[in-house]
Amino acid sequence: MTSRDSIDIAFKDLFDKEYGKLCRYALTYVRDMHLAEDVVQDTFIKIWEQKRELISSEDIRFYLITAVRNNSISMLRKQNKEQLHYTEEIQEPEPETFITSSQMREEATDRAARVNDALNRLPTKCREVFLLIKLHGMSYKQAAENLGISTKTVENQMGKAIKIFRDIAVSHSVIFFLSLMLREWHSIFINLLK
Amino acid sequence: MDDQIYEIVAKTLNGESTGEEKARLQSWLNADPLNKKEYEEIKMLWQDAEEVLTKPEFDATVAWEKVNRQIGYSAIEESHKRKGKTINLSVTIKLLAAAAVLVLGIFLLRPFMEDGLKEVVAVHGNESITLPDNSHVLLRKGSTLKYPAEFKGGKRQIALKGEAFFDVTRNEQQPFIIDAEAVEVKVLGTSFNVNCGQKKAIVTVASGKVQVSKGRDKVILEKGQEGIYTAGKLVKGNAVSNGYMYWQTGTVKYDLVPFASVISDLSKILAINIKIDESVAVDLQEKPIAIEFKKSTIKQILDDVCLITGCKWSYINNEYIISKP
Repeated sequence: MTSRDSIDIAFKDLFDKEYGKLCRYALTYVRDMHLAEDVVQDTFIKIWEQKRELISSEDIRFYLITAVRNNSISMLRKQNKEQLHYTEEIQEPEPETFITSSQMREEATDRAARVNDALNRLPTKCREVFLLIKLHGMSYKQAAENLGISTKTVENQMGKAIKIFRDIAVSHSVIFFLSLMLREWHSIFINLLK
Repeated sequence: MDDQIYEIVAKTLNGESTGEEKARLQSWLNADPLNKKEYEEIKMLWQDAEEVLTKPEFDATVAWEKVNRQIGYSAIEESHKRKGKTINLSVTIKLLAAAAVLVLGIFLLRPFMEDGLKEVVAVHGNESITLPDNSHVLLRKGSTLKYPAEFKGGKRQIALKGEAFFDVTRNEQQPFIIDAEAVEVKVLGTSFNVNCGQKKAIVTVASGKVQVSKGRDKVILEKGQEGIYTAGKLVKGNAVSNGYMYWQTGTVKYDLVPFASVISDLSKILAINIKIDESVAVDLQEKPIAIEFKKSTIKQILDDVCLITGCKWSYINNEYIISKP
């Protein structure tokens, strides 16, 4: 087998393994399934054309994730610019939730709706960290390196994410919510007595 | 303190917590049954998130075909580039050539500039365009439409590269003419789809009459008919489906169309190779079927087709093959 063939195979494997995940990742930025696919496909093509030597390296996955993120952001920027210029020609995109597709919405259970609610409430930086860890399965250290931040910041952001998840979980469980409130009032009351 | 416990909870759920942190979490959990309940609720939602993040699904097979095709092109370009490098032009010749191109360019573009010709390229998605005569065009992603700011003279002349659906305002005094690469399309007022390339073109009529011509050859099409130009010949036939709707709305409908025709039409619409294997009996291939697709993936489409015909499908060497089970 020539090295050219083995790169071909490595590239196809990489594509099969990462395509769906990367599309879902791009989707969180561009909010349109077609655009997300365009961004991911273009990224793969660019890697083939310009960074072929990276394909069989171990870091390629991280490189891809960063590239898809950057390309999604620049795609968004480009679109916003165009919309400023040709507002009358471009139709307003439908407002989309975190995970799009009508199919998804139809079968969205109450639980999925709660998750979407939580995901939509994550602040930008927090969501970035969250997706690297939960969607791409990175460790805290890998996520920190990928975003150029400290591991401590990653811990911080993930704590924030958990807190938002907790708020949503709690607000959906009325009895639980009430008992938590009672506990807080109780401690305030006791503090007042002191 | 409170916020720190959430960081520890996060680390625990991600398998990142240290022994010390585990102990701290444990004592927090033991301190109050409500804490425990809170932890359970978070954990449940956290696990639900994992499931939500596996959706929606994307079709990697179709995407790979596109990417692979693109890569194939760039490989060809690359070999051209390599060849190109051996020719070393002197700087003077390059400058002269550049000047010549510039002069020629200005000369060629001048009539267009005077006309105020507009060019729309649908880059990010299908684009809806209203022409000066109020005719409506839906330009398919990746296609280009050129038209003047105002239609003057005896005709409404525009140019298309790629695919578009036209709904032309009727004006018998001023025919509407499309320069559609390989062919020319002429109408008075109707709606129709044009899909054109340099060597191939298909025009499908949704309402009214349309004339398609190539040099001296011409065909006149009516509702439900299509004109196909390929391999230097222009022919007219009946359209099997409203397949031109597929790129606009993601829908296509077959009303008692022979199985084999449905498959060849789907191949065309979806731009993929689908074949019926010899193992499928001829009378089944000719059996009329009625089927409709709405925003289905290729997999769903093939599954449905196989379900009603009792066949199965497989994907081998960039080809979808339908065979007897």
